[in-house]
Amino acid sequence: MKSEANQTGKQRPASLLVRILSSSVLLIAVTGVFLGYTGVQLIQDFAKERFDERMQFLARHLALNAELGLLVEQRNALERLADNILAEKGVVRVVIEGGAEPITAEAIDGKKTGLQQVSRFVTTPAMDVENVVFEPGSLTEGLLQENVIGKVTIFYTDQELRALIRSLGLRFAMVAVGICLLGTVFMLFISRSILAPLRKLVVATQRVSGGELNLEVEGGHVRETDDLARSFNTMLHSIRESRAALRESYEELAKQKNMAEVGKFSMVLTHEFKNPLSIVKGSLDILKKPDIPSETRALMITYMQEEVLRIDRLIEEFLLFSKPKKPDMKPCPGDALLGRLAEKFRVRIGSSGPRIEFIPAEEPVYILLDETLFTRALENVIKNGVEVSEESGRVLIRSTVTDGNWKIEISDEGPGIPQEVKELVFEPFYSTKAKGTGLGIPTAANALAAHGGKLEIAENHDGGKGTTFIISLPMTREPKDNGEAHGVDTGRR
Amino acid sequence: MASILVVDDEERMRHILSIMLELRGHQVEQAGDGEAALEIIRKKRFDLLILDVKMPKMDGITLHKHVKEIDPSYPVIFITAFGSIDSAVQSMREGAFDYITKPFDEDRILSSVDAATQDAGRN
Repeated sequence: MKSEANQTGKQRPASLLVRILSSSVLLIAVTGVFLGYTGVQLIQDFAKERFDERMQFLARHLALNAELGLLVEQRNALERLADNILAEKGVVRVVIEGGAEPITAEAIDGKKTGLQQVSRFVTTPAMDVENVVFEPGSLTEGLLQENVIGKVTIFYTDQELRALIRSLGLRFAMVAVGICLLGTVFMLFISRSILAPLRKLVVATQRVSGGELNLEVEGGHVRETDDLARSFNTMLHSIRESRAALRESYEELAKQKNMAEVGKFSMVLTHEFKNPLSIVKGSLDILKKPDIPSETRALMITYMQEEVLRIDRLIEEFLLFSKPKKPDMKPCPGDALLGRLAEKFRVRIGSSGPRIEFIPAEEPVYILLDETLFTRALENVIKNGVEVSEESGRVLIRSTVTDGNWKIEISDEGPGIPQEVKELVFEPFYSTKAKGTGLGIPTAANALAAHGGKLEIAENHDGGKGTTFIISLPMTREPKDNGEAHGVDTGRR
Repeated sequence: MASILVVDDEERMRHILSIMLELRGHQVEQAGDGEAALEIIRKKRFDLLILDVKMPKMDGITLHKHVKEIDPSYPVIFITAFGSIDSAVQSMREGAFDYITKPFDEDRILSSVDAATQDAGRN
């Protein structure tokens, strides 16, 4: 999936195979063309020189042989001679001048264009130097020791040579293409032997990133890829080891944390149970005495009964926290419930604690909730406020409806909760008070969360005295069955 | 007979201890927290203080420190639940006479009180 995303998001760079192949083919092609061109050029120059030399030689040979013919004016012999020369490769016309009429031998298919010519004077050794007449532009100019009796001219063409060079060039080109193809195949083979292990490595890394660690890759037959594969396998081995070590330490940590939780739990449990137990035991010790007044005896029995109930409530509190109940939601008039709860606390506290004030919401609140569970949660929060308050203090319960949420603020005038321990208040067994299980607020938070609501501590705006817990519950809920929620409205008081 | 101040935030615990000690012939006064106790101690000298370790406002250990400022050899017995034994042991090192774990045995506390008050009498 990721690689697909990469492909679509950004153009991927060319693969190693393409790079190696294209660069090697380019290199071979350039080298082939350069060497071929230079070679053909050299051969062409060399062959042209030899060809021209041969024509010079033929002209010399013709001039020598034509000497006799011209001297004795044997036209037939000269014609044969010209024909013989014409038979030579490349010669297209042979002209022998010197007689009464120049003798011309010409090839029938001789091309007239691109012709080259080579001329030679036919001479005889000078017999009478004094009779040599110098005429500017005449055939004899510059020749002082010989008598010029004629001139031979050979017209020739290097067309065949050119054809030969062309065919040579073509062959070079074909060889170059052949070498290119061969080189490509060869490089393909080499690239594959390098790339196959690399591809395997890529697949392996993908598997590793998918979480599979128990694998080994092979490095192929190239040393570098073999080294790479070995390093990869070593790396995998270390990852496996460190992961195992990590898991071990994590398990150890979890165990320690668990032990710490158990330790904390045992401490709280012991402390909270030992107080009522010691009252029960002390009361029993007193009851055992024969000469105690009957009112003391009655009081001790009351103590025992109430402390046993206290132990029972503690057990229930622990159970409720460790095994939270699933709320059984029923429609309920929220503020009526809060009013009853406030009254219950007023009666319980009497004159020995803070006063409890309740301000209901301006509009009636009807909401789906598990009354027992919700009451228990609120009791825990209010109890917390009462316990941290001075006798002259006040605990205010204010109900409001905002944005479809029922909001209950429970404010006390106690010492407040420092910012750094605000989160700890929601941790089990944490308590700012000398006594208490540290389960009241966490249990309340759990119960409210099960209702789809939440419990928070408000920020202190006015310099910090007291604490305000805010409970919020969403009021818009899907009715459990038809008309259940609407049925509530008709039941308004 | 000795005058004893029992300091514990559990009213019933205080009451039970008082009954036990009074039946033994001691004079007992009570305080519900460390601050209240300190006020009483500043006004009146007792033969023995029985302090609970965990209390709101001012715990037993802190109270003991204040008491030692008045008299470093003031006899003190700590009563504690299992969870705060460490603090009690620390207090013993700092000069408390004894510590008793909850739930305590009547004989255990009475004999400790006797020993502490006799000790105090000798001093």
